[in-house]
Amino acid sequence: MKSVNTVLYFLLALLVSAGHPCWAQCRITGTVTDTRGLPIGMASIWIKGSFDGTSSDSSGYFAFETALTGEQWLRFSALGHGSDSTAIMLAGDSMILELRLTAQTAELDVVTITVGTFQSGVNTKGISLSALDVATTAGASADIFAAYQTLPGSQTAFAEGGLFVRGGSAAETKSFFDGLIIKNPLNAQAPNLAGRSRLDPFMFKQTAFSSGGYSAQYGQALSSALVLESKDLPAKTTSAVSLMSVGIGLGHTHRFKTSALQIDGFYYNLAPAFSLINQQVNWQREPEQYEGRLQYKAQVGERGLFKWYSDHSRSRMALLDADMDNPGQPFFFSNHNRNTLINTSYQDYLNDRWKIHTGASLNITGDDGQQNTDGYARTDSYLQWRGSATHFFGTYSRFVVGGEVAHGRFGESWNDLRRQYAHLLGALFAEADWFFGRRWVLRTGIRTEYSDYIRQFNVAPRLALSHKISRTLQASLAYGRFYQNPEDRYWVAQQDIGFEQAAHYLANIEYLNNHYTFRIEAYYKDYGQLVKKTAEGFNNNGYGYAKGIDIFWRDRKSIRDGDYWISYSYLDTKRDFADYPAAATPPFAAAHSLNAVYKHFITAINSQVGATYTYASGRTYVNPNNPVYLADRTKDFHNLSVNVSYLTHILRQFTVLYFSAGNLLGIDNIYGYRYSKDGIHRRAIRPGARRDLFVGILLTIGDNTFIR
Amino acid sequence: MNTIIKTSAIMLLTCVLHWTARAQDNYESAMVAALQTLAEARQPADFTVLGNRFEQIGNTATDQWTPLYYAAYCQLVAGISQQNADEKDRFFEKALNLVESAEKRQADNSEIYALKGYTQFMQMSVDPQNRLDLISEAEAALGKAMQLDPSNPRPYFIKGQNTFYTPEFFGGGAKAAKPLLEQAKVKFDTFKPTEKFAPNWGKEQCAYLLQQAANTDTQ
Repeated sequence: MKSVNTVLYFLLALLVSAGHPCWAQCRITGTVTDTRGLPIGMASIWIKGSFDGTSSDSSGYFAFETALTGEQWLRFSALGHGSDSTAIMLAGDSMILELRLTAQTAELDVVTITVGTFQSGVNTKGISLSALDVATTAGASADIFAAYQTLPGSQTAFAEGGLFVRGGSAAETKSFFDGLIIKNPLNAQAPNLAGRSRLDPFMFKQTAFSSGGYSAQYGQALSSALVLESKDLPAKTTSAVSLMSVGIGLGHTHRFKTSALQIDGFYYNLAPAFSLINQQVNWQREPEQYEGRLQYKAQVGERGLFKWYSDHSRSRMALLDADMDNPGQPFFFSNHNRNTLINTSYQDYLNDRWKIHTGASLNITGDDGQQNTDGYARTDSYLQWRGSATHFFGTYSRFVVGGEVAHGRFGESWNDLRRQYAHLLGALFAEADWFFGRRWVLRTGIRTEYSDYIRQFNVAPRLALSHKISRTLQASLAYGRFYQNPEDRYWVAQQDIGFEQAAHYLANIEYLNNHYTFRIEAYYKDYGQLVKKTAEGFNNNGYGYAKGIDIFWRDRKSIRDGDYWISYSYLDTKRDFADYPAAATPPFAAAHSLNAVYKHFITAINSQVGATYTYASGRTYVNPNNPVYLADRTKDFHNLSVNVSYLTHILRQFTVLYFSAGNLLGIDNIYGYRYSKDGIHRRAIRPGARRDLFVGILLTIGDNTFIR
Repeated sequence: MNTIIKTSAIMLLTCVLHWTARAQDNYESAMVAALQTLAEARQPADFTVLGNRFEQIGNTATDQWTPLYYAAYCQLVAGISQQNADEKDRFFEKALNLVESAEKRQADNSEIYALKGYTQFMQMSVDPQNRLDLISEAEAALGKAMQLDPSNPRPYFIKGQNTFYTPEFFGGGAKAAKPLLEQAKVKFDTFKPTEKFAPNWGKEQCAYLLQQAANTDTQ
C-alpha cells in the first residue's frame, strides 16, 4: 500500500507540474487605476482565451481564481478608459497586480477644434443648429441661411440674400455640399429683395458653419465656409405631402435592400399669399417656381456609400420698381431663372485607418429677363471634381490629403452685346490634426491653388491650436490665409485681376456641457488685393480690415421645455474695394447685432412655439449729398418673428401644421436709401412686405414618427 | 503491482476526463452562472459587471452570439439608469458595438435586430433634437426583426415600449403603444426559444406596460 501511495504522490506531482488544473487554483487579486492613480470601478479583467475573469468594484479592487498555469495574457478594460493587456506567469500561487489604464478616454473628453465653427449633427454636441432647429427658428422659415444668421458673426441679410460674415460680402461665403462648392445656392433675386437658399435643411445630417479660420480642405471663400454633409441611406420607405400658403410639395422615398431612391416635386406660387398681405413691391408677376429633385443612395460593399443628388428648378417673376432718375416713370424688371445642380459622391474605407472620398458636381444657372426695354441674360456653369484620402493615426490624429479641379464658365449679355469667359482652377490640400495627449490638438493645413485664367498660384497656410482646460472649458487660437477668385462680373470684363486674399486671426474660449453653451471669440481680419474699380479698369489695390467680438449663449435647461440662444456680435470694419472712393464701412456691416431665439414646447396643445428677436444697429448708405462716402446710417433694425408648429395626426399619418409671422409688430424697417444721380430724390429700401405670414401643413405617410 | 497500475490508470483517466469535461462545460457553466446572476440583477452596477462577464465569455467562445447579445443587453440596461447624458452615451455606444459584434457572428437574427432597435432608440432619447435620424433607424431595425421572425415577441414589445415612452404628439403614448404590446403579449405566451441560452426576456415588463396603458384608459 505504501508503494501505491508513492505512485499517487508521484502522479500528483507530475500532474501539478504539467499544469493540470485538477488541483491548482491561482487567486489573482489587484486594483485597476487610471493614470492619476484613481480607482476605476467596473473594469473588466479576464484571462484571454478562458472563461476566467471578473470586474473591479468601486474601489478598483478585483479578485478571481483561475486553474490555468503558465504564461497567460491578462486583458483589462473599462468603459471610457480604453483597454490594455499584460503577460502574467501563473504558477499556482496567488498574485497581486496593479493594473493601470492609460486614459484612452471617450471622445467627449478629448479636445476638438471648434474655433470659428458652429457644428451640428448626430454625433456632435453643443454649439449647433440641427435641421429641426433650422425648421423651427422663428423668422427663418426653414431657410438654412436665415437660421445661421441668428448665430454670431453673421449679419442679418437685408436687401441681398446670402451669408454676410464678419464684415465680408455674400460672395465671401461659400457653401459646400459633400465637399463640393454649390456655385449658386440662392434662388433668383429681385433687386433689393433677399432670395432664399435653395438648400433643404432636412437633406443634411451634419452642418458646420465656419465664421472664420476654416479648414484647408476648403477654399475660394475669404470669410466663411458653410460645410453641409448629406444624409446617408434613409431607413424606410415613406411619402410626404406638403401644402403651404406658397405652394405644394410631393415626395416619395423608396428604400431597397441596400439602396434608396427619393423623388420630390415642388410648385411654388407667391401670388395668393401676396394678395392677402399688403406688398410694398409692385409685382407684375409674383414669383412662381417649379422644382424636381431626384436622389439615389447606395451602399457599396460593407462600408462604401454612393450618393447622387440632382435638382432642377425654374422660376419666373416680374415687378415694377421706381426709377430714381425718372420720377414717375416705373422701372420694369423681369427674371426667368433655371438652375440645375447635380452632386455625386462616393466614400469608402480601405481599412480602419484609411478613408477615401471622391465627388463631382455640376451647377448650371441661367437667368434672362428685361430691365425696362433692355434684355439681359446670364449663364453660369461650374463643374468640379474632388478627391481626398484620410489617414487616421495614433489614437485620435488624422491626416487628410486631396485635390480639386474646377471648370467655370460665365457669360452675360445686354441686348445684343455678349461676353463670356471660362477658367480652370486646380487645388491641392493637406491637413493634419496632431494630438498631444487628450488636451492639446494642433491642426496644420496648407492649400495651394492654380488658376489657368491668370496663370497664378496661391499658397494658403492654416493653423489652429486648441487646449482643453477642463472637461467643460476649452480655449483656442487660429490663423489662416484665404484666397478667392475675383467675382465673375469682374473677371468676365477683365482678365488680369489676381486672387483676392484675407488673413484671419482668432482666439476663443468656450464653455460647454450638455445643457449650456457659452462662447466668446475675438477676431481680426486683414483683407488685401481686393478688386477695385477705377476709371482705367479693375485692379487688386483694394484692402480692408474687420475686427470684433462674437458672443454666443445657449441654454436648454433653465426653462422647462424651453430652449433659447442669444448671440451678440460687435463688428468694426472698413474696406476700400469695388467702386468705393475711399475706405468706408460697407452697408452689409452693422456694428452691433443681436439675436435672441426662443423655443418652447407646450405639451397641453402639442405645439412648439418660437420667437426670434433680431436687432441690428444702423447700417451705412451712400448719400451723394454727403462728401464723406458711406457716412450716413439708417435707423436701427428691429424684428420680432413668431412661429407655431402644431403636431398632430391626420388620417392617422403624422402631420405638422406650421404657422409663422415675420415682423409681427409691423416695425417699419429701412434697409438703406437709393438716390437719384443728382442727389435730390431718394427712396427708402424696405422689405417686400411690412409683415409676412406663412401657413403650411406637412403630412408624412408611412411613418408615424416625426421627420422622414 | 497490478492494483497500483490499475488505480493510477483510473486516477489519471478520471483527471483527464474531468479536465476535458470541464473545458467543454466551461462555456455552458459560465453562461448558466451569468444568466442566473442576470435573473437577480437589480442595480445598474450589477448590469455593468454582468455586461463585462458576458463579454468575457463571448470573447472566448468566439462561435457564440448569445454572450455578446447579453453583454449588449446588460450595458444597455446599465446605460438607461445613468443620470448623466455623456455616461448614457458611453454605455449605449458600448452596447451598440456589442450588438454589431453579435451581428457579425450571426447575420439575420431577429433577436439581434430587436436589441439594435432598442439601443438606437435609447441613443436617440439622449439628444432627440440632434438625433432624429435614429428614430427611423431604430424603426427599421425593429421592422427587420419582425420580418426575420414574426413569432418573436421582443421586437413588438420593444416597439411598444418605445412608443409608450414617446410623447403623444410624436405619435407615441400609451394608447398608441397598446396594440403593439397586446401583439407582443400573445407572442410571449407561445414563444419558445429555439437555441440554448437564446433570449427570452420582456414578458413581465410587457404585462406591466399593458397594465399602465389600461390605467391611462380608465382615467
